Order: sequence, then structure tokens, then C-alpha cells
Amino acid sequence: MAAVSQGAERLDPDLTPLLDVVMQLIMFFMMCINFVNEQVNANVLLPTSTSAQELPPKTEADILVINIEVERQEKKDAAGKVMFDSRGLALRELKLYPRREAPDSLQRKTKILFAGQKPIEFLEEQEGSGLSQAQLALVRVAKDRRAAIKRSNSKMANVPVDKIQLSESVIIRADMETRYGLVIRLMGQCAKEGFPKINFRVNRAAQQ
Amino acid sequence: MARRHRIAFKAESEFNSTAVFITPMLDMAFQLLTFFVFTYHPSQLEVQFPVSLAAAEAGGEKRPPPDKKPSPVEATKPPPVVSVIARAVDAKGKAVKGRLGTLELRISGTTEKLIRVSDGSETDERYDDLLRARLAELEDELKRVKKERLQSEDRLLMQAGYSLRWDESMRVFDSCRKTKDKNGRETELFPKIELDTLPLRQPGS
Repeated sequence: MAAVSQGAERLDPDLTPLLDVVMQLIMFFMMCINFVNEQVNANVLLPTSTSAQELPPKTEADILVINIEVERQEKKDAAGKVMFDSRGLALRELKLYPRREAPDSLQRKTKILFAGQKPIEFLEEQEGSGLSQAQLALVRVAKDRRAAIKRSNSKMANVPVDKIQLSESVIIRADMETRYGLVIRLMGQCAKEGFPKINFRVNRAAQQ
Repeated sequence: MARRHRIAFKAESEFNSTAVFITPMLDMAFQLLTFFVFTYHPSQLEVQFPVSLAAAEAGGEKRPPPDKKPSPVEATKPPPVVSVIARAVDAKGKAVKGRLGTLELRISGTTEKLIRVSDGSETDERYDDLLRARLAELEDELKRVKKERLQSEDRLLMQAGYSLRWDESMRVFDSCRKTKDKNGRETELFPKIELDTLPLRQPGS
């Protein structure tokens, strides 16, 4: 670039290396980007496990992902005022460290999301009804999938819908703070509906 | 007038120049970079594994495939010999809900070992240490029992309390599945584990 000679000299930085670095970064993120399966919810904090294997290189064509998200919220008293933690920890700190718990001031809201269904949200005290809603939703999903298989396969035109076998795997991505029983009940419902395989998704444990 | 003439001349010469305007290009490059930074998801860290439920109590007997009778082998499959029962702490007072209270190892219905883990009132660091130590104890016990009394194809039934945290239950699952020998190599303990919940009215559920 031409420097304008009017008294003080202008120093124009050489932008070429900057552009090169920017292009390298763009290439890196383009290669690494993974337009993740819509069914996966990034808000779920998965536990770690050493029992798990690598994801199969090709994603199965028909999978049903059940996301169970747990969100910590400030509890409010009867007057609607936020209850503060007796140890003086701010909500932000409590949220960052899932193990630290302040039973007095926090409540958990569980959200179950899958297959384009409306999210099912409930607090701990309403878990029974939340679970029932989720089970009913699974029944609907299984019925819809069977109906879709029947429509797409002409050989099954004369087969009753409830006798059609499902081939989809179920993948359960449960937040680390989910209650064990909730996950098992949902698994039970999936097995009842005839889903042949159920998998858990976890984070890879660090090598020790 | 002369100054305006000079500015006009300068502007005109800039337009006649073949130099490239880099500023808009940089702007676009940063826009692209910002887009990819915000949409980047490190999802490759996720891994998965298949699981199976114990029959009945977990709320789901597997629906048999249509028009297929269960094979005689499946119908007479005996229940697992080994069971590990993980009970959650009683959620009373300041006890932290969802923590692991006790671990019980049963062989054919008889309690082989009962390990007390936590009463829920420890600090996080102390609880983590306790959990690690108690799970190591469970692994040692399972190794001993498998070596002395069991066959290689035996399955394990893992029953846990309803209110046990998912994270904790995964750690118990891992301890039942694999262990490390003296040289740090992983060995399989029970590759086939069936999951179940404790009946709701039982302590620790």
C-alpha cells in the first residue's frame, strides 16, 4: 500500500500473514464441523464411563435418541423470593459444579426430548406424571414408526400395524444428575414397545 | 479549491489503481470464522454401549417378535447368580440426595459382602475418595468371587435405587464390567450386565 508522505510516516501492517492464519482457522473449523444429528441435545451433561466403545463410523439410519436434560434452577419460597444457598455459593458456582448441592436453594427441572415430540418438563416432585407423559409419548412414537414402515413397504400392506417389527435402536443420552430409576423406566417402556436395541451414550473417560 | 482538486485527484487515482480492497475480504473472513466457532460441537467425545434390562421389574418384558415362540433355552434361562445392589443414601437432613449409600454383593440370594460408602454428609472431595475406594473394594471382591466360584458366562444383575444419581450408577456399572490388574491392564469381569431398580418401598431406593 502506498504511504502518504505528509509529515509523519504511516505504518501499514502487512495483512498477508494475518489473512493466512485466518484462512487456516476457517479451514480447521470447516473440517471439524459436525452438523450434529438434530436429535442430540447439547445441554445434556453426560457422565463418563470406561465401558463404552467408539461410535460406529456410519450412523445407523434409523435411531431414536432420547435426551434427558437436567437444569438447576433457583428455588423460590412461597412469597416468590429466591432462596439463597446457606453456604453463600452463587447459583453460577453451583451450576458449574454439579456435585455440590444445596438442597435448600436449588431445584432440578428435568426435560425429556425426543423425536420431534414436544419437550416434557417436570420438577422433581412431579416426576411420576412426567414419566407417565414420556411413556405415552414413546407409545405414540412407536406407533408412528410402525405406521411409517407399513406405508413405505408394500409387502406389509396386509400386516396389522402392531405386529410390525421395529428396527430402530434407541440411544439414551441422560444427564449425569438424572435419577437412575427414571432412565430404567424409560428403557423398560422402549423394550415394551419393541425397540430391539438400547444404547447409553456417555462421555469417554480420561485415560488414567 | 486546490485542496478539493487534490482530494478528487487522489480519489480518482485510487480508483484507477489495481490494488485490491482487503478490508471487506477481512470482514467476510471474520464473519465466516465466527460462524464456524459458534457452530463447532466436539461431539466425537461421546461413546456408547448397548445395555439390557432384567425381565419384569424394570417395567418392560421384551415383546417377543411377532409369530415367534420363545426358544426352550430362553424360556428356561436361569436368573443371574451374581447381583450387585447399589442403594442411594436416605435423603434426610443435610444428606446429599442421589449419592451412593451402600453396595451389596449377593451370590444366589446370599449376601457375600456389604460395603458402606457414604451417609451423604461428606464434602465432595471426601465423597469422591470414598467412592473410589469402595468401588475398588467391590471390584476386588467380584474378581475373587469370579475366580473361586463362577463360570465365565455368568451374568450379573445390577439393581440400584430409583433415586441414585445416573453418574454414580454408571460408575458402579463400570466397576462391575471391568477392572484393572496389577500392571494396569483392563480385564473384563462381567461383560453381560442386566439392569433393574430396587422396589420403591425398600430402603435406598
